[in-house]
Amino acid sequence: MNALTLWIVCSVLALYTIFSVAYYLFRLRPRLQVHSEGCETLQKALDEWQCIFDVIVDPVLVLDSESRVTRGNRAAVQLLSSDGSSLEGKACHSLFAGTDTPCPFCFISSACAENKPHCQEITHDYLGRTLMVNCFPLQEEEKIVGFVVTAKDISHQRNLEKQLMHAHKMESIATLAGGIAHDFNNILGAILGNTDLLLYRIPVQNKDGSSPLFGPPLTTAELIEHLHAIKQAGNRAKDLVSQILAFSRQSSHKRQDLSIAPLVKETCRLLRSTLPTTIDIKVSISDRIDMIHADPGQIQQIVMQLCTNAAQSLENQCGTIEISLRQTETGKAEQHRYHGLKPGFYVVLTIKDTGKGISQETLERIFDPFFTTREVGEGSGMGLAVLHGIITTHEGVIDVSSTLGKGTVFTIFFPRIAETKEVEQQNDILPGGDETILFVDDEEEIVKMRTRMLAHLGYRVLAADTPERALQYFEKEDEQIDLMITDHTMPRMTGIQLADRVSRLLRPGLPIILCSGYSEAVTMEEAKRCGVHRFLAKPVDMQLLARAVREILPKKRGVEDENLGD
Amino acid sequence: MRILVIDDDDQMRTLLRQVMEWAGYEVMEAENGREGMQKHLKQPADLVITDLIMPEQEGLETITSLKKAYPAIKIIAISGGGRIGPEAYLPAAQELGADKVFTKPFDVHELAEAVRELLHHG
Repeated sequence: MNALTLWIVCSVLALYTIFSVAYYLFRLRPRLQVHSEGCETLQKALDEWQCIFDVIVDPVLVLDSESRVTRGNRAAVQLLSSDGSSLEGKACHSLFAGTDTPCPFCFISSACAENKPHCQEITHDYLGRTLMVNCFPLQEEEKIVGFVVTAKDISHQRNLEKQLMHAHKMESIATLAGGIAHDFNNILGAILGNTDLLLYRIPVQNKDGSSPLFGPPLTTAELIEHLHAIKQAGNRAKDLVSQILAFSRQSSHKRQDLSIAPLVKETCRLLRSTLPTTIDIKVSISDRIDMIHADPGQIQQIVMQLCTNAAQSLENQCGTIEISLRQTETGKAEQHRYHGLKPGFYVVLTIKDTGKGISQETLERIFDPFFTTREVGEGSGMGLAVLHGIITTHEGVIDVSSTLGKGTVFTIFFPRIAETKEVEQQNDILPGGDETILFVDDEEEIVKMRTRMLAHLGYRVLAADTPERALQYFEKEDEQIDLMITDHTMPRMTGIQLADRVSRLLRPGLPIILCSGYSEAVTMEEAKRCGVHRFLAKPVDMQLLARAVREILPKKRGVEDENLGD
Repeated sequence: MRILVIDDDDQMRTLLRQVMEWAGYEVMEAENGREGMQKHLKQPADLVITDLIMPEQEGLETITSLKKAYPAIKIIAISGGGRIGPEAYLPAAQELGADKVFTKPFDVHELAEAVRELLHHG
């Protein structure tokens, strides 16, 4: 084969190959094109899905059956990953709560067991946020293979609600102010009046030899009567202050086992001073009212708000407001009558007026936020919406019924807690002792008064009107001190700081009682950390102080109870 | 001489009674204006000391009724205020016929002196 023949053969073979490939390519092209288009479509769909997943403003997580993240959108990464690293493979509880074990309130297991979506509001201290979390189970062949979790951040909303409630409470305080001033003037009148009477009538006052201004000299029985009146007025003032504080305290919202009857009575007394006297206020409280689990300030807010509304509904401010408290066991009939009321035992608060009534149209929207029938500037329209929120958080139910021209009735059900314990009978005997007590307060008058009181109970009292003077007592090695009672708010050094110094450096283990007028300024945890054994809110009653001292001091033989001789 | 004390606050009423007894007067007590009017009808008082904000029948109405029925009666109005403060109520009490007015808390000696002055020189 010569070179030419070889070239021809090679050329033919090459061409054959090229044409074969071209032919096959031509034949296969539509199929390849379809495959490639499918890939592109799939990719495009995936991109689109990822894009949509990422633009969802609420965090969304896809979890596997063991609550580990398989996917998370951009909002989830922003919320849960401080450095922007991937969430994949991390356990849900480690991301939300920073723990190695599932959260105690985790509802994924419920969603799994019931195989249906769950929704729950959760405040995560670890993240410092309140989230509305939804959990949807993912199924494959009737088996749960994972969950989709969405978490809407409602922290801002909850903060606004708190602020709104506080603002609303302040509105009520303004309403109360007149009543409070009226009550305080009566209390002050009793204190100053009785003191004046004593000062004018005690013979020792007339050193110039003149006789009392009027009337016969003071007898011991009269002296005791005046002193009791002063004490009674002081206690009224103390109760009033504690109620105002309970009502105005911003963030406590602490629910406690509460005897609602005395609180409602006291609020009605304040209302009596606040509302025009042309309005007849009738209070009816059943003999036995058990305790409820409630925030006292919020209960007062409910009574104040509903009664103020009732007063505004009375034509020419004339008519009657009836406030009643009873307890009842509800069954199916009540469940049907009052929406959302579960069968059980309840304390029922009813506020009824003889006002102009509310139309059916208004009744339907009465608990809606910002709904008001008043003129602009006469109210925010948030009052009843706020009350509805408060009652719901107390697991209570509020109902309203009204007849135009006849009046309105608000009925509120609060779940009753276990039967009210009998109030512990306290006798007038004050326990005393012979130990040494160091009493510290920057107010000289209080130091004098307490020193006298404690000495009367048999104690040896060391008095200090500054924290520095108190510390000097500890510097004397031979000075036996069995207990320190200290005020909290003092110049240069607080009671807590003093307690901390004494318990850490000077007398470890020394019993310490801290007295403070503003309980919110000191937390019990902080006080305990600084060596405080007991906290007493000012003004401290003699009985309470005497008992607290005896409870805190080790029992001694031969210590007799003493009576504050009367 | 007889004094009628009208106040819905128990402690204040007791104090007013004690002050007036100390000053040497016979004292009747009433919790509100309506009860005060009834007591006065049964046993007329020479002087009435009345609070202003009370349930049933308030002080201003009581002063008006008393002065209308018994123009010579002496009246002292006292108030600790209410929705709008005592300074709003007390001038109204004077306009309606109260001979003297006192804001709570008050000096008991001044009150006793005022009573003495009204009854003996007024």
